[in-house]
Amino acid sequence: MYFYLPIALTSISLPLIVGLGLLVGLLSGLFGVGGGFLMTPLLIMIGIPPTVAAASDSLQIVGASTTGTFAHWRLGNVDFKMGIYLLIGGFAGGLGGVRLIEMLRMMGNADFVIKVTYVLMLGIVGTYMFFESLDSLKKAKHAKHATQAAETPPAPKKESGFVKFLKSLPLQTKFEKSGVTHSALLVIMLGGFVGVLAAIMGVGGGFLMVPVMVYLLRMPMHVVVGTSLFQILFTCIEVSFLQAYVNHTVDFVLAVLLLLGSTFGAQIGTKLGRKLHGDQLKILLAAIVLVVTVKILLDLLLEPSSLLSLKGGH
Amino acid sequence: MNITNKRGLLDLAAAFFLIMFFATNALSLTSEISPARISITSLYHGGKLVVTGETVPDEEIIVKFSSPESKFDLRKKGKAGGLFWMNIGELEFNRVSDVYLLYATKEIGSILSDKQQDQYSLGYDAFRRLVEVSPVTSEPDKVKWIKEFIKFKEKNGIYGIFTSGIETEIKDNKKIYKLSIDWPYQAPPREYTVSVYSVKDNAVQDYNETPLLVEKVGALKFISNMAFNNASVYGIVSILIAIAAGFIVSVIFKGGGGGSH
Repeated sequence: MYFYLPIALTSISLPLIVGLGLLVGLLSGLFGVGGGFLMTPLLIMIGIPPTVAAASDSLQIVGASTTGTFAHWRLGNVDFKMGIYLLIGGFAGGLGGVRLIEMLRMMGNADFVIKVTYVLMLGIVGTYMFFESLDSLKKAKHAKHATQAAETPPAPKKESGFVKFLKSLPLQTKFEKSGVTHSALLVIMLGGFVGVLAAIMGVGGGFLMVPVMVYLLRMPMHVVVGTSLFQILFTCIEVSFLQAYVNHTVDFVLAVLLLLGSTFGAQIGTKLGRKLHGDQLKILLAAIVLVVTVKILLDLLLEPSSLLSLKGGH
Repeated sequence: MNITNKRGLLDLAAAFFLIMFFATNALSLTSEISPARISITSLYHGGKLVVTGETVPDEEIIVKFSSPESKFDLRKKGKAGGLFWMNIGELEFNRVSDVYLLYATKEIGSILSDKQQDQYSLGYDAFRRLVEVSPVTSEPDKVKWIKEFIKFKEKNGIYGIFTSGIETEIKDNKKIYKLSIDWPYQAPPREYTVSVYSVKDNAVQDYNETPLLVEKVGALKFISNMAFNNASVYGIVSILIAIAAGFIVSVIFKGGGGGSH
């Protein structure tokens, strides 16, 4: 069964597009990422024009992250206070990032900077997360053995200079849901940093925001997923509206077909995520990020089948 | 009647026969497209199109489906820093048709002179000679990018040259032809031209053109009209529906035993 897409101006197989939505929704519910870094290239691969793929995907993420945020909120996994602070930074950073891209385009090397930033960020984040969570999994295993041998609690870690510096920043705020205390300025700045990078790379930034929340803000993994989805929801509402209003590139039919799969996928992902340990979740996300990095690297190194492409997209 | 008058009559007769000869040939080619209009509905996945007609027995037939020639901007890929394949600029292709599907009873080069190919934009050789590309550094560079352009379009199913597909039979001293094609769903909605040429002695003897309208209808037309003419409402309604869809699925899953705080 095929559906014709009124804005993309192409026909698409229903099972294929719903399946794609299901897969990306599953990842969204599991890891709190929007999945734009996966979905947009997949849509382009199946013949959707790049500009329409990116814009319709952001509308699809609005639906998937609504259901994901709602599911996580019911589980008590959304830190609204943290989410709003990150959003403030994210909006400001996004605007800054767009300006930066305009400057780079004028200088004529925007594409090179975008691609290299993309590969570097994905590679660094993926590798770090992978080894860090592998290490934690091993430690957890050892700790289990050690606890069985002697019922002594591990010695508390000594505070590093970096942590001391973070604690010395002004506007220290307690984030009850996450159980952490940070300077509001730090949170807004981190949100801004991700916003700049997300704008440069043309993605929602979930896969960058998640590691930032886990490693820099020290939030528990399950709260990270819910909060990240909450933040992605608002970012994608803004992006979807702008894409529809300014560029006319949102294909409503495509987004609805993707939503059929992704909203269910997000719910299944959330339930599945509850059964997995935080480190297991991190290692899985790290593996996916690394696979995507390798794919992008290969695309950069191997001669493409066609030397021409339509304008737009990531 | 003097000699001058006789010569005048002979000239008149010759002219009459010549006119009659070309008129007979001009009238010999007929063509009919069915359907003349393709409606794009929500479940559209291309359509069936049949071109039929007749000509004189010893002529070859060429059928061309094309859209008006216009300008195309595409990104070009190349090696940056001698290592990475990425977009390294844009190319402007001028005098190109968005869709170009050509069916012929024989290979174009073997039945038409270069001049005639160029005059009627028939075949890829004519395409290469007529299309303008900028910026290019040299003739080989231009040829390379035109080749890439054709490859890009063929990959999308909207460019192609085929020497099979046209069925012919001789009946009552006429050549009857029939071409049945699967109209590609990738061809965007617009008005196309179906041109049929009868060819003999390396030249086009006759041709005719029929419009083919491919258009969105019903809900599909409503959605795209709204997206372009009422963009802010379209954006807001789309977002509200996406949020509502998210909530509905959440409620369904809650009924199925969702988690608690």
